[in-house]
Amino acid sequence: MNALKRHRLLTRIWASDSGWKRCFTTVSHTDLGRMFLGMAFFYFAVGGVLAMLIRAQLASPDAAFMGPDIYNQVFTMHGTMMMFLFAIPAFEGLAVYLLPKMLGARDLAFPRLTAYGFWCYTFGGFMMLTSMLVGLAPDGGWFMYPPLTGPAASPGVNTDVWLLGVTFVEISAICAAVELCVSILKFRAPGMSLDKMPIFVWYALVTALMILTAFPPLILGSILLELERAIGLPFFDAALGGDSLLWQHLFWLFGHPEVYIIFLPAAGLISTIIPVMSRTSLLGHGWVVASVVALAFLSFGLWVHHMFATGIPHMGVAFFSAASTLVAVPTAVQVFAWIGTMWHGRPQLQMPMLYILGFFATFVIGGLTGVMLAIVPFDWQAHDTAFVTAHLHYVLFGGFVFPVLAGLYYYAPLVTGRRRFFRIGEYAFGLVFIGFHGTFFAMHWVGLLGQRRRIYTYDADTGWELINLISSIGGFVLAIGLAMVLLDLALNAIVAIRGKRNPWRSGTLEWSMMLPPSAYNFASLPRVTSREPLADIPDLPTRLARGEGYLAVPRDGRREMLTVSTTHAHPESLVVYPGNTALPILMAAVTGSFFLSLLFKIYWFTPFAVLAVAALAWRWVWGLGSQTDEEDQEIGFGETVPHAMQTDRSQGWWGSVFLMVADATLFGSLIFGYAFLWTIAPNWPPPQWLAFSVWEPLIGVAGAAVAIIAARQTPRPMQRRSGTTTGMPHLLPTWQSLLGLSALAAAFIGLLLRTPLPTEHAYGAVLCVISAFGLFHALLAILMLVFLVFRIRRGFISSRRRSEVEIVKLWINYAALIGVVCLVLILSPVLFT
Amino acid sequence: MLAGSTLIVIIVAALIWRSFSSTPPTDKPLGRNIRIWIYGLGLVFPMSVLAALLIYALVVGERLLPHLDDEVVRVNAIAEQWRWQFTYTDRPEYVSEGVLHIPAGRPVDVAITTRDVIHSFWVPRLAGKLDAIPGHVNVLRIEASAPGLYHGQSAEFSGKGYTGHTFIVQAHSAADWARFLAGEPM
Amino acid sequence: MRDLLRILIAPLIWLAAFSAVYALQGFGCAAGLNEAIFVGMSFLRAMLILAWVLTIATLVGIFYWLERTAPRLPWTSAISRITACVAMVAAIWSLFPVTFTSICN
Ligand code: HEM
Ligand SMILES: [Cu+2]
Ligand SMILES: [Cu+2]
Repeated sequence: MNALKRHRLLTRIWASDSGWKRCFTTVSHTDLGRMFLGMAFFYFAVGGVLAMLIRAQLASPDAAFMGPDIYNQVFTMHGTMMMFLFAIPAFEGLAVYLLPKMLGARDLAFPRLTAYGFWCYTFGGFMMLTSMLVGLAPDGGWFMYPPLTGPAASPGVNTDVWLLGVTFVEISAICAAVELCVSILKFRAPGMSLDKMPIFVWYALVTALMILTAFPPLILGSILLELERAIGLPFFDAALGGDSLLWQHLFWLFGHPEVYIIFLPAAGLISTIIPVMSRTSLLGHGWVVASVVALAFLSFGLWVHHMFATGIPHMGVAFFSAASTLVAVPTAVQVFAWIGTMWHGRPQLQMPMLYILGFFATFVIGGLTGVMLAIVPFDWQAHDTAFVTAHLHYVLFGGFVFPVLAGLYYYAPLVTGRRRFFRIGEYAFGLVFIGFHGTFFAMHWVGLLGQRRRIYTYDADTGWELINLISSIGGFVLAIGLAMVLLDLALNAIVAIRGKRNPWRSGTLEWSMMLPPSAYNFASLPRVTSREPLADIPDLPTRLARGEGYLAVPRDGRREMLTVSTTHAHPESLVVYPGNTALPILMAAVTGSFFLSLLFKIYWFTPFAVLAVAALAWRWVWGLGSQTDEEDQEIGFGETVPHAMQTDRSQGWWGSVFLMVADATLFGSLIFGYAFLWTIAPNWPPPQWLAFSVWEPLIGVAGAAVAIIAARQTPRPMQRRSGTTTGMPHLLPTWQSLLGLSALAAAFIGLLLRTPLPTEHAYGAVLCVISAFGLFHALLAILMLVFLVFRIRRGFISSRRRSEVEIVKLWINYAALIGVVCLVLILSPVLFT
Repeated sequence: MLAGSTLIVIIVAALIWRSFSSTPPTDKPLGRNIRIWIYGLGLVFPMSVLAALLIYALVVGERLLPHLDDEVVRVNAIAEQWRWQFTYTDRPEYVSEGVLHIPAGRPVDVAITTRDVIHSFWVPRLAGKLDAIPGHVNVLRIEASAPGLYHGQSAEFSGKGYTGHTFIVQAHSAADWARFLAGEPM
Repeated sequence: MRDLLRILIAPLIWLAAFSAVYALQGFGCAAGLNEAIFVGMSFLRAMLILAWVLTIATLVGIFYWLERTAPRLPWTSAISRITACVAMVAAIWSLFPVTFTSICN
C-alpha cells in the first residue's frame, strides 16, 4: 500500500461528516479543538466589550452612562465570562487540539465525550449570554458571596443563572479533564515513556488533575446555594445554623487553584516555545516538571488568603500567608529556567517571542504585587481596591492572554498550513502591550489612593479623575490592539500562501504530520525513542506516511488506536473508537433541559430530564463492544495486543477512576462543610438531633458488604451440565449485588424520611444532602448493574470480553464505600450527643 | 517594598535583554547553567527574600492584634444595606448613624457585625479592613492619633447601594470625648 | 502509574497535613483547648507543634523510602526527589507559625 492509498483509506475512515452536519456530529479532536477555541475567543470578545463598558463608565467622575443595576451585571459578567467561558475553555480547546498530535495519537480517549463537553459549554454559555441580553444577568460579583446572593437579598433569577449556568459549563471542564488524564496516561505513541513526554503534556496533565480536584468544591457550593434558594435549605443562613463563610471556603478552594489552572497551560506554551525559538532544549527539564507539580499542590494550600479580612485567627492567617509566599518559588524556578534557556540558546525575535517578552514584563510585575498582597498588613489595606483588580489582570492577562497569543502565532502554521504574509501583528503587539500597561498600571495607583473595586462611579473631588481617564484610554488602545491581532490571524489564515512543514524547526511530534493536519493525524503511529523524535529523525513525517509505524494498515473501516502502559508506554491494547454521531449534542441538549427546568422552576419536569439523561447514557454505552470474542490483533513490528474490551483495565475503567477522583473531592468538600458548620457556624446545636436507630446502619452496611462480595464473583463463567463452561458469565452474583445495593439505597431513603426538618436548621439540611449523595451513588451503581444484566443476556460479555464487568465492579465498590462513609458521618455523631 | 520590586523587575529585564546578545551556546556547560539559573536565581534568591518578608509580616501582624488593655474604649459597628449604626459601651442608650465617635489618642475596639449581607469596615487612615459577617462579631483595634474627621467605607460589595456605603469617624479630644459620653450636644 | 504516584506522594502528604493542622487549630479553638495548659504552654499549641513535628518526620521518612526503593524509570527518581524536598520545605515553612503566633485570635 503506498502513502497516497493509505491516506485515502484513512481519510474515509476518520473524516467527519461533510456539509452542515459536520459541526453537529463530529467527534474529531481537531474539529472540536478548533470549535472550543473559536467559542472561547468569542466569549473573550464579549468579555472585552463588557470591559470597555466598564472603562467607559469609570473614565469620568459621576458618569451617568450606567446605573448600579446595570454596572453590577456588567462587571459580574465580565469576570464570569473571562474566567469560566474564556480562560478554562481556551485551555480545553488548546489541549483537545494539540495533545493527540503531541502524543503521536489519532484522537483523545473518549471522542464523544469531547463533543459532549463542547456542547455543554456552548449551551451553558448561551444560557448566560441570553440572560445578559434580557437584562437578568448575575450581579453579585464573580465570586457570588451569600447572603448577598441568597434568597432574601437577591430574589431574582439572576443568581440562579450564575449557579446553574456555571455548573452546566463546568461539566465540560470535568469531562475534558477526565479525558485529558486518560489520554495522556494511556493514549501515547508506543515508546513515549513518562520522561519522553513533551513538556506541554506535563503541564496539561497537572492542569487536568487540578481541574478534577479544584472544580468540585465550587460545584458543591453551587448546588448548596441553589438548594438554599430553591427549597430553603439554610446552608448559608446564620440565623438557622448556616454560615456564609462556608461559601467563601468552598469558592476559594476552587478559586485559588483556578488561577493556576489558567496559568499552567500558558506556562506550558512558554516552555514549549522558548526552547524552539532559542534553538536549544529546555534548561532544567526535570526541575520544570517538578516545579509544575509543586505549584499545583501548593496552590491548594492558599485558599484562605482571599479571606484574610473575615476575621480568622492570626495563626490561620500566618499559615496561609506563609504558603502564599512559598508558591512564588516554583514560579520563580520556571521563570529563571526560561531565561536561562534563552541565555543558553540563541533567541530569535519572531512573533511568538514578542508575546513571550510581553508575558515576562507583565507577569513578573503581577507576581511581585501578588507577593505584596500575601503580606498581611499590606493586604488589609489593598484588599478590595482597584489595586487587587490591577494585580489580578497582570497575572491573568500577563500569565494567560500573552502566552496564549504567543501560542496562537506559534501554532497558526500548524492549524492552517499557511505562513504569515501580512505584518500587522507587530503593530498589534505594540498596541496590546502599551494599552495593557496603560490600563492597569494606572489601576494599581488609583487603588493605592483608595479607590475600591466594583464601585460604579466616584466623586469629582477624589483626585482619581486623571488616572481613571488614562486607564480608560489605555483600555481602548488595548481593545484596538486585540482587534488587530484577530484581523492579522484571520487575514493570514485566509489569504496567505502555503507554508512549509515544521516552520520553526521544532523537534516534537505535532510537527511531523501533514499541514493542515489530516483527520487521522498520523498515517501510522511513531515509535518514540527520545523527547524530540523529529529532531532525531528529520524524515519521520514521510516515514510515517509510508506506513513505517504502528497500525499502518487500515482494518475493517474501524478507527483504531493503541493504548500503552502508563510508565514505559509499551503497547497494551487496541481501541476501536466510535464513529461520527449526534448523540453528544443530543445528550447536552437534554442535560440543558435539566438545568433550564431548575432555572425556570418547572420542577415537575426535572425528573423527566434526569430519566432522559439516563436513557441517553444507556444508549451511549450500549453501542460499544462486540458479541464475539476477538483474537489478539497485529499492530506492526511483529507485536500483537488484545482488544481493549478484552482487558481488565480498559480506557473506560481509567476514565471511571479519574471521574471518581473528582467525585471523591466533591464528597470531601461536603464533609468539610459538615464539620465546618458544626464547629464554626453560629446558632448550633440544632433544636433537634436525628434519633439513632440501628436499622439503617445495619441494613446499609450489610447491603454494601453483600454488593462488594457478590461483585467479586463476576464474571464467573457459567457451568454447563457436562462440566464444561460457556463463555457467558453467571448472572447470580449480579442479582446478589443488586440486592445489596438496593438495601443500601433503602437505608438512605429511610434516613431521608427521618431527618429533622431540613428547612429549619442547617444540620437537617446537611444530613439530607449527605443521604441524597449516598442514595445517588447507590442508584447509579444499580443502574449500571441492570445494564450489565442486559449486556450479559445479549451476549456482549464473556469471560474474555470482561472490561465492562470490571468497570461496573469498580463503581459498585465505590458506591458501597461512599455509602458506608455517609452512614458513619450521619449516625456516629448522634451517638455522642 | 516598592523599591525592592522595581529592582527585581529591572534585574529580570536586564537578564532577558542580555540573553539576546549573549555568546553562542557551545562554550557554556549545562551543569553550571543549572546551578546558576535554577539553584541560585530560582531557589535561593526568592526564598531568602520571601523568608525575610514573611517573618517581618508575621511579627507586625502579631503586634497589630488587639491585646488586652484597660485603656481601651469599646464601640459596636452594625452594618446594613446601606447604612452604618454605631453604639457605645460607655454610653448605652445612644445610637449614632453614619458617624462613629471615638476618643483621639486611645485604642478603640470596634465590634463589627451586620444585619443582612456581608459588609466590610474600613477606615484607610486608621487601620486595615475587617468584614462584617452575619452571625459573627469581629473586633478591630483602631487608634486615631489626632482629633478630626476620618473617612470610612464599606469595602465588600453589597449590591446596588455599595458605592455610597460610607461613613465618617469623628475623633474627639479628651475633653470633647467626656462631653460626648455625658450626652451633651456636640 | 506507580512512578507517577512516587512523584505526587510527598506533596500530597504535605497538603493533607497542612489542611489537618489548620482543621486542628479550628477545632481546638472551638473546643476551648487553647485555655488548657500543658507544660507551660497552651495544650492546643502543644498539640499543634506535635502535629507539625510528625508531619516533618513523616516526610523525612517518605524521602528515605523514595531514596531506598527504585522506580521503574530512573528519570522518576530525580523528579520525586525534588518534589519530596519541596514537601519537606513546605511543611517546615508553612506550618512554623504554630510555634509563636497567637492561636485563636
Ligand atoms: C481585555 C482587557 C480587559 C480589561 C480592559 C479589563 C478591565 C476590567 C476592569 C476595569 C475590572 C474592574 C471592574 C470593577 O471593579 O468595577 C475588571 C474586573 C475583572 N476582570 Fe477584567 N479586563 C480585561 C480582561 C480580563 C481578562 C482576560 C480576565 C480573565 C482571564 C479578566 C478577569 C476579570 C475579573 C475576574 C474581574 C473581577 C470581576 C468582579 O469584580 O467580580 N479580565 N476587568
Ligand atoms: Cu489566591
Ligand atoms: Cu494573585
